[in-house]
Amino acid sequence: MTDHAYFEDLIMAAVDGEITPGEEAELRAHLESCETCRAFMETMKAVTGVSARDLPPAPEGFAQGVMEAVRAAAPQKKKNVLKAFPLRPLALAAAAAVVLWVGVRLAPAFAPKGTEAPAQAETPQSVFSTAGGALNAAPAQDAVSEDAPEAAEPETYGFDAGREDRRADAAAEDAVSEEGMKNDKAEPVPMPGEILYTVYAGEELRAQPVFTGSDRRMALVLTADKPRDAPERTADYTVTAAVPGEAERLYRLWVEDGALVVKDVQTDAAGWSAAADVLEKILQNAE
Amino acid sequence: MTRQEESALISAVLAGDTESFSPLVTEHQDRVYRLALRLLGSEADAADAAQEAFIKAYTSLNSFRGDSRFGVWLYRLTNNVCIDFLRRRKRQETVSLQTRDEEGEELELSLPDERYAPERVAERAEDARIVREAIAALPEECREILVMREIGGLSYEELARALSLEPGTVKSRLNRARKKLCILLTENGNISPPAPSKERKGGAEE
Repeated sequence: MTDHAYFEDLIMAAVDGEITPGEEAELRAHLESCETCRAFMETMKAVTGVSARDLPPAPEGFAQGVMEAVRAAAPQKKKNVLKAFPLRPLALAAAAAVVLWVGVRLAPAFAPKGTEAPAQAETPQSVFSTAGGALNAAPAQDAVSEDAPEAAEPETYGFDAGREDRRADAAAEDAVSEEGMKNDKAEPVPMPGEILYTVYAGEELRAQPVFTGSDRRMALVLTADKPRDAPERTADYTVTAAVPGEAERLYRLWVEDGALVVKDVQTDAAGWSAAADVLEKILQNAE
Repeated sequence: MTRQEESALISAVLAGDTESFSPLVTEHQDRVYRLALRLLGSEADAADAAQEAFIKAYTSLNSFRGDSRFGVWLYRLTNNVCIDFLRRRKRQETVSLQTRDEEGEELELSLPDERYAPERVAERAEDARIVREAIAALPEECREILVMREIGGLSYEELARALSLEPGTVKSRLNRARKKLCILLTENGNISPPAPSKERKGGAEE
């Protein structure tokens, strides 16, 4: 590269504000003694930014037009995004079979008990409805895994576990709970403030929807899945939380360096903090 | 809009909240439109291309890695959409823009030739029509890097990544683009504008 070409590059960087202090000093020294480069720099200053000059802003209504087109493209888009949501590199080996989709829906706050059943409700088998507090213990899961050759079994496990736990947690709702339990035998009905979890593997419904009121329940749902397809350590979970009137929230869960990482996709912040034992629970299952 | 705000919106869109895309459109619409206008020359085409770029951005948002500014990714996308537009248009009209690679010859700025005096460049650059025609007559790769730098506001590093160039090539290509632009600006009436394409739009331009 000739000296001239070298200084032309420096001049280019200078007019674009990309010059380093060292280069700038060098260039300044050179310009002192080089008329050609001084003229070149003036010319470059004159031409820089010319391409951006006198251009009108986007026409009136442009953004609205874009948004209309975008909304029209939205329905199929959402599925694609969820499907294509990138797996962590670690998870690649685990592949689709171990990816779980957990749909989280906030149930209607005061749904009349026993009258209105969510559309997806199928009569759950209540074989585990009395397992209650034992569900937090690993042996309970082992039992499930032995006895659950069919896909439908683990789901009800998660579902009933939720009911039991919630009842235990909220002593004040005893009477309601009794009533609720009866209804549970038939169809899942949300209690005020409860959240409906639905487990998917890919786009396939994986488990019957489960109402629960806390992250602990979600952990149970995730762990309850073990009998069928134990997710490996490298498995990714994706949890969507659809809260009426709010933007749907999306969380990702994965195992990294032996720890469970939970991230709110929107903010990239540590999403949902569950109690340590709950995370431990999920982690166990992920192993 | 901070980068954080931007990435929060992008995540919301990815999570299914289409409306979160709206502030991103508002934020970037002028640059995307101006970029398209500079690359395509016609306002109608620019509006179409800019809209297409945004829709592409929306439908392929999950391929945005987040390791660059959203704008960098978006302007690169806009650039590609516009290049497609130009190719389609060229095929239709066989406009002979000076897009063949003419490395060298014309690019030798023999300073201090007074035709390229800074005052003359500055004076000619005041004429929007001359500027428009000069930019339209630039080789494609020169026009592309110039507008992404000056309208898109990409840094050298971002240009290198967006255009898959070595950092050194960014400088030399920008250098070449601006020299060429100087020549075209001052080449009194010798610019060969894409005249047929202007008439195509019904002669609406001056």
